[in-house]
Amino acid sequence: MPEIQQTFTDASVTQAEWEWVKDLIEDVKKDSQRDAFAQRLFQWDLAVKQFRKVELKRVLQDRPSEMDLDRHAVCLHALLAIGFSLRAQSKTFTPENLTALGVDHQQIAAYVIELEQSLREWHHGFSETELKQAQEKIFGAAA
Amino acid sequence: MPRPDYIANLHGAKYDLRFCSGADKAKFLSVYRTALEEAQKKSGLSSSLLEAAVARDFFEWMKQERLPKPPQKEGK
Repeated sequence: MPEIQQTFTDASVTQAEWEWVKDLIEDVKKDSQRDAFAQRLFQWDLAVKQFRKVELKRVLQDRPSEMDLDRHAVCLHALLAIGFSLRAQSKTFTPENLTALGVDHQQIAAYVIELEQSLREWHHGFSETELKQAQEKIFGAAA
Repeated sequence: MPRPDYIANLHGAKYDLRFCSGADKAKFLSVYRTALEEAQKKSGLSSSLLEAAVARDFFEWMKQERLPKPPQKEGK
């Protein structure tokens, strides 16, 4: 097999070396970003789970006090703010990168939508009268 | 208070969405949306008013169905 001779100019070698180092740095940056994203995602997931436990006890199982509902709203808004950020950030990773973390973009989006659902259920602009009328329409019709 | 089937169905879909594993969230979200659309059609209410009106009934339904634990099987 004929030997292929490669010739490099000093300038091209220098440029290639710099490109190689730059790529290495980019890889490190990407890994760091992915690690930071993963850590934030898992902490958020844990916070959502704890929030759901307290919500079940304080809001669903019993008639919530005004303070319970206030705290519920504050927590929901805070979790949603982080969720929106994570959902947007997840788009910057490849599906393979996310799979390596055990998640996918749709999963994160679904978590966010579920939190939005809770907001619609408990922190809406409907009056008590509107709610009662709706309940009578729903449950009264089944009587 | 009697509960129409479409609300029981909506609660069931919400329960599955809430307690499923993360990997199944997107699938159960789709099921929930279908149940909500059906409930909206049958009640003639907007989806947001419907969700707000039945939010408190969800736990009552859970108690009546005796469902304190997350579903163990996919697609309960």
